[in-house]
Amino acid sequence: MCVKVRRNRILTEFFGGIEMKKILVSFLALTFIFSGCGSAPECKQNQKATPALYEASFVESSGTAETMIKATGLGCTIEEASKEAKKTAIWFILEGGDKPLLKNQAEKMKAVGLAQMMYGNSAKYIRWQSGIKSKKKEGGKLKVTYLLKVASGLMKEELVAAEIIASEEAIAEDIGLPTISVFVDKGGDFAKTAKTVMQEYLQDNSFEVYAAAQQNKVNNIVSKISALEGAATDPMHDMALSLGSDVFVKINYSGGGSGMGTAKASVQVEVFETASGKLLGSTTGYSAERRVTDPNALVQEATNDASAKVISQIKKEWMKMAKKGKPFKVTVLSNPTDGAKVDEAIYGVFKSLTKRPIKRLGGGKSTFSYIVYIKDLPNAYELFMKVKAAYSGPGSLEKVSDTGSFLVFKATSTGEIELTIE
Amino acid sequence: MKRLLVPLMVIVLFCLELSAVADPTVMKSDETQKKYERKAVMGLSDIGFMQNSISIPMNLCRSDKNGYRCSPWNFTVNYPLSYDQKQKAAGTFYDWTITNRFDKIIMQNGQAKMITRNGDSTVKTGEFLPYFTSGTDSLDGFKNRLENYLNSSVKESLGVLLDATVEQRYKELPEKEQETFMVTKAKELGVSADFVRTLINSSYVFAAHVNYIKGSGRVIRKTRKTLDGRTVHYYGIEFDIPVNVTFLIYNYNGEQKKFTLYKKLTAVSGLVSGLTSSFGVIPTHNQVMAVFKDTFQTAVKAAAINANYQLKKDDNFALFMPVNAVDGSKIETDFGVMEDIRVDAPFTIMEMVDGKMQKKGYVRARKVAKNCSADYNKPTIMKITNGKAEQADLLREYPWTGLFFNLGFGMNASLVKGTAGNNDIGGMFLAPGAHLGVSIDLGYSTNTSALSEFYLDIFFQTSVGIDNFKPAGRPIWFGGGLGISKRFYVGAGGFYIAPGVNLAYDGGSTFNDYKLQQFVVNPQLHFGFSISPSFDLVFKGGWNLGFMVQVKDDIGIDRTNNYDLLAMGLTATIDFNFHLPVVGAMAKLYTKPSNVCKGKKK
Repeated sequence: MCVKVRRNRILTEFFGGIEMKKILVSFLALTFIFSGCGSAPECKQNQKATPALYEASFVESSGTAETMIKATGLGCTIEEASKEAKKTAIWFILEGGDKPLLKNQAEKMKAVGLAQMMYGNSAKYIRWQSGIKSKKKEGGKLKVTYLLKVASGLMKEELVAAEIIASEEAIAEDIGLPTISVFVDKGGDFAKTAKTVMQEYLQDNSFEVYAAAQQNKVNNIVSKISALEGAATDPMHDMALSLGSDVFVKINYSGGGSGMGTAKASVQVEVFETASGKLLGSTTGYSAERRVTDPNALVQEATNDASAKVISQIKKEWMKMAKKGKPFKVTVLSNPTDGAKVDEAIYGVFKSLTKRPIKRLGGGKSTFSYIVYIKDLPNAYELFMKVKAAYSGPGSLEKVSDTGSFLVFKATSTGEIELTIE
Repeated sequence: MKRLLVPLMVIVLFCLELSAVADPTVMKSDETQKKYERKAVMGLSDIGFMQNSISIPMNLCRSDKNGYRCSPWNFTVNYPLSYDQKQKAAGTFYDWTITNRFDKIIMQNGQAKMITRNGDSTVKTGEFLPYFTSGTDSLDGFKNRLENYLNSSVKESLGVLLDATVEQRYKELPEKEQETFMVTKAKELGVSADFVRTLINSSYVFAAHVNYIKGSGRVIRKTRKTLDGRTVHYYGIEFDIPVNVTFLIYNYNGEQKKFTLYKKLTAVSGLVSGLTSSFGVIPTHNQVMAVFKDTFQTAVKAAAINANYQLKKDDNFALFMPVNAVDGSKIETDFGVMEDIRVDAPFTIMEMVDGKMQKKGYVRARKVAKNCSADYNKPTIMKITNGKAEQADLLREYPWTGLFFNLGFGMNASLVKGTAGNNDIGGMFLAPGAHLGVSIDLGYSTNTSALSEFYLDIFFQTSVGIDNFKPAGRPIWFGGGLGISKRFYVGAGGFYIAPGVNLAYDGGSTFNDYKLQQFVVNPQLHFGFSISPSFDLVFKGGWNLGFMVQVKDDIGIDRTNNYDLLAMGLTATIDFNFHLPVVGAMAKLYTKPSNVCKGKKK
């Protein structure tokens, strides 16, 4: 009992010796200090309509009008960062990556209003959102990454409707689609698979594919003309001319197995404009390294990859042609008597049809070949009609063949030509 | 018509990137959202030992007034380590190491079998594989034989099995996209090499080899007095059998088609003492053997629990998972019993801040999802105990056994009331003291939700009185007992309140040679601060209800009747709990990892 009493007295003396006021002041000061220490710097939300961050990458096109994008958003909260990531994905389709919808500054300026509407209404354009793929805090803000499936087709339609980007239909009407032949260069049976896949790919997408059957031989006229031109002949080019395709594709395959039962394939594709022999595009498609029961699946994957890439190049070049004129190879058959005057007259006709330079290929005194670029003419037959109407040289013109962009006709006053065609 | 067709064709032309091929790794989460991916493990059918039998010469000890004396007894425990015994030990060891979080590989009779989360796959390996018999060997000898075995015919068979099961295991990868987009892709085109590599290279062989076992054993004769004053002897059997296991983990390299040693761990049981005190007459040899077997199995289990703990220290085998949702102090996550999450299992909350992974706090599992199949979609619920969490924070499994070493210091007060003639011989005994013992989370050890955050304490305590009361004088107490408490975490600062009760039996003597005995019931309230799952600081306040059983004065006269039955007073202690990775004899309180899914598999 004595001990208890003694202890109570000590406590009373201790607290009694300190002024109450001092305790209060100290308490208030400490409260102030700790409240200052505890407050985190204020996180400011992005008030702009445009994304706060431009970190995004293309993943893949997973549907006819949808594109999978990996996009990162920056925000004070997960919710805000998630919203920002959607804006970033929309921005990527509009302006980012290799194939933005808005291709130049003028289009971007015109699209400002519509783009802001799209950013503000991301739910309309985001078709699917993955779980969070990455979350980091940087400079007090959250960076959150998602996979997002964006309705890129819908966005394109709206931009076209708003006349911000040119209607592709209008451009295409001027020129149509090229006809295409596909040939195997190297790679054995797998290259043949690649050829089949490429042809199917093109056909599935409404291209007109001219397939060379095994028994097909190069047209006699083409052989002879090629021989006359003297250049090293490319059998695939000659076959494409024979078939009448505007464009021809060469395929090379390489690939093989690797560790753990996996294999990969690569398919090299070269695309040429048939008339001029000009290389329109070249790319290599790769499959992922996979475990498969049938390696043809990998060939298909690599070919699809190549096709997707090369189509973009064909598209770009073909659009240029729409503006500058479609190439035609024209061969005129005559004889040594009329040759010089025929050449002069035909050349004059071409000069009146195009402002672009006319390329003369090797020939002789009686056979002449030209590469001409003519606007607004869909095929060689219509070109022949135009030339025939404007022709003022010796004799009259008689069409020998017209295949795609390759035109052969006779021009002679006597009906005789030097080149023997069986 | 042309006007219609041409635009249509061009639209198609412009949409030709339909089949662009994805790089599947792009779709995977980065390290901030890392998810445990199941590993495939093959265990051997038995365990290697360095001895053919365990031989322990027994002592006969006497414990009485004169002290504790031992002399050799006429029995030596001789426990042959037959193949059956080794298989049994392997069963115990692998129950705790090849848990549900692993796909299991079994090879026998020319077949190889993979048991995955959603089913089994069996392939014919085309070769009859002999069993690997661990035998009796030194560690080096065992290791050499094992490596020869693994890198001979086993690697081929394992390769065949892994090849055949890649797609099944691929579909069980945890990323959600695996179940939608990517699996479709894999079905069309085959599983990509990155995933094949991941799956094949995540295959392991677990093997165990027990170091030389040297134990000690004794039969102890103790003496006590009956109520009618007779002196009787009774016998106890006691063994100390520490078991240390070298745990070898081999990794299969898919490119080289070879097993290489990935890790070598030493799993220790700690001191496992098995004892029983229920024999009225000297125990028979069979009774001694029964106690030995039980103690030995407990020691193997203790080593296995330690191996389980050590595996979780390795990022490759520990669980990682993102926080799916946060609701107040509760969070939802994937995974569950199929990843061997036990009730109360702690996890560290982590977040990438300015390029570095930082710890944000801790959570503990409360409701563990019974995710036996892929279509189970209820989350595991965890409680934030320290710090804070938000969606998409990363959880990392905290290596834990749920067992703590407890050390406490405090003050006991006991108001003893008593009269001798007309004299008041009672008083307030104030006794500062200390206690030590172990504290085990019963929720974790038994893996039972109903026992979540119930802690069982086993302790020894001593205190020395500071008040000198006549005629007894200052008491010195020794005793021990059991306590149980239930923690309730308050907020997310690591603070908890735990009501509990201790039951103890104390014996004491005073400076004036009084002999005292009391049975103590001590209801308590704990105010604890769990700084991490490995360390707690606890303030305990309680009310001592001491039932005086015996008071004898300095000349041996029983003075119990002079005192009131109940001696009461306040107790207050400050305790420190330190996590113990070695569980020793407490292994008995651990139940095996959940097998709730065994009956639910398709």
